[in-house]
Amino acid sequence: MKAKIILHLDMNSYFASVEQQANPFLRNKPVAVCAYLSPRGTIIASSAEAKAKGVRVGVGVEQAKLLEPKTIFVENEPAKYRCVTKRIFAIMAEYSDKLEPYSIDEAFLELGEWVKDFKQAEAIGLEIKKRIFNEVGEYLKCSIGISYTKFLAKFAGDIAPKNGLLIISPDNLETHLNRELTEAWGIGRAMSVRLRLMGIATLAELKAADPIILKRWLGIYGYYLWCNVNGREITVINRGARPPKSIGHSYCLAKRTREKNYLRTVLAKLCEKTGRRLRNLELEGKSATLYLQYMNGGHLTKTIHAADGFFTTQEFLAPLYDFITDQELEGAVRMMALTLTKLSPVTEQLGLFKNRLKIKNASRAMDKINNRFGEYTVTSGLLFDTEHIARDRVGFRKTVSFEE
Amino acid sequence: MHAQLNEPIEVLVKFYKAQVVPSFFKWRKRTYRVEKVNLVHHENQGENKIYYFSVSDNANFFRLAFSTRDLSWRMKELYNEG
Repeated sequence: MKAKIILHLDMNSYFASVEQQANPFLRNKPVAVCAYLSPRGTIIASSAEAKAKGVRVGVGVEQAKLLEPKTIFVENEPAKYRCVTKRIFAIMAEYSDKLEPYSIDEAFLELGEWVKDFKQAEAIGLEIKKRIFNEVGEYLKCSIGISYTKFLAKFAGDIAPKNGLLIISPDNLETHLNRELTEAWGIGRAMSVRLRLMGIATLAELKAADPIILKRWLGIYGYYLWCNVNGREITVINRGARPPKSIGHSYCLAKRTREKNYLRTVLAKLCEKTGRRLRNLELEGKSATLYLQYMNGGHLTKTIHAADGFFTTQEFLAPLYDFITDQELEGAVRMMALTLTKLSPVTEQLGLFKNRLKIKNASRAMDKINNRFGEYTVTSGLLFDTEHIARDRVGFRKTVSFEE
Repeated sequence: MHAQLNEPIEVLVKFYKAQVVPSFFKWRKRTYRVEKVNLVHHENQGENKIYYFSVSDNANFFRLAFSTRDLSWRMKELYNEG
């Protein structure tokens, strides 16, 4: 079998760079892209100039102003980023039929069948960078990693210099592993603590460790980690994005409140947005979880299940709506999230005791009208005048959807 | 200055290599020459597809919107360092 050659592309400071590409007067300046521009808003991406001043992802708008008063705040615009991502991935797809979008700004490309060696793969990597510069935008930069496993390609992409390209081959693997454990994909703080307890402090030491002992201490995941740093492939490049394991939306409330009417309205909006995505993907969810985070710490969670699966918005909105109505809240709520899990393709199976086909078709008909005439043309009365609540936002989710 | 707007404009475009490139536009009785088209993206509002052209001259950034439903152009955003 031919050896694998995998290319990993990671856009640098992506959302901020796209904003700087669109507006040249933002270039070479500290720019922070926020989910919302309100003082409680959080930064979801920042330019290299802002990062240099400590304005990083997760920092609040107020704190960012203290760190760098010259920061220019921009509200994120998902349609813009999705369009640019589509163009970048379309360029990549011209070089191999095996393209796996990993997130809005990252993708894997398997080149094994199309190139003879790393040198040819490097030429393709450089050509992709050049085409992004010429065809998408001259201010968009990316880091490219090339290697012989999916893990090492991403590792190379992650440690490559900004706007650079790095190749990790079997010959130079050792030289790149004298790094902190947390620099590797899949090793978080908790796992690094456990590895340290075993006397493993670097990736090179992980490579040299006994896989049997790793498996005994950490389970099968320990063995996978050993395979990763030893250049043994344990996964595959998928054609296209992987199907989602869950679908959901969250919203940091504009006003911190325990007012039930407002909370039910937000819930209705989150349910409708989630339901629309669920039905667009022709899926059903068996469980729905509502998460309310209180302003003063603590949270409230409610999971509901449906043997036949949830498909229409009303099917999961109604019980959760009743839950909020009846539930005694312990304080003001600051964030609400809804997630549908246990997803499976929608079935047209007729129920023994309940026929849901008519309800499903009515829901589909409403979706068709909204697809044609715009979102919320036909919808629940609960959603009247809620344009400002939980607007379209883009996440760093690992399943990429270009649906608007 | 940064302003979000929604005002009708007149635009002169050229069709070049399967692309639509705004060259000049008239806004508030003044004509502007587009020096560079920096980015084009689109958004669907139902069946209406709106193309956004992020363009600039030497002093200003403008966002022009073209609606495919009624073939109209609007000025959506203005940014300059003044």
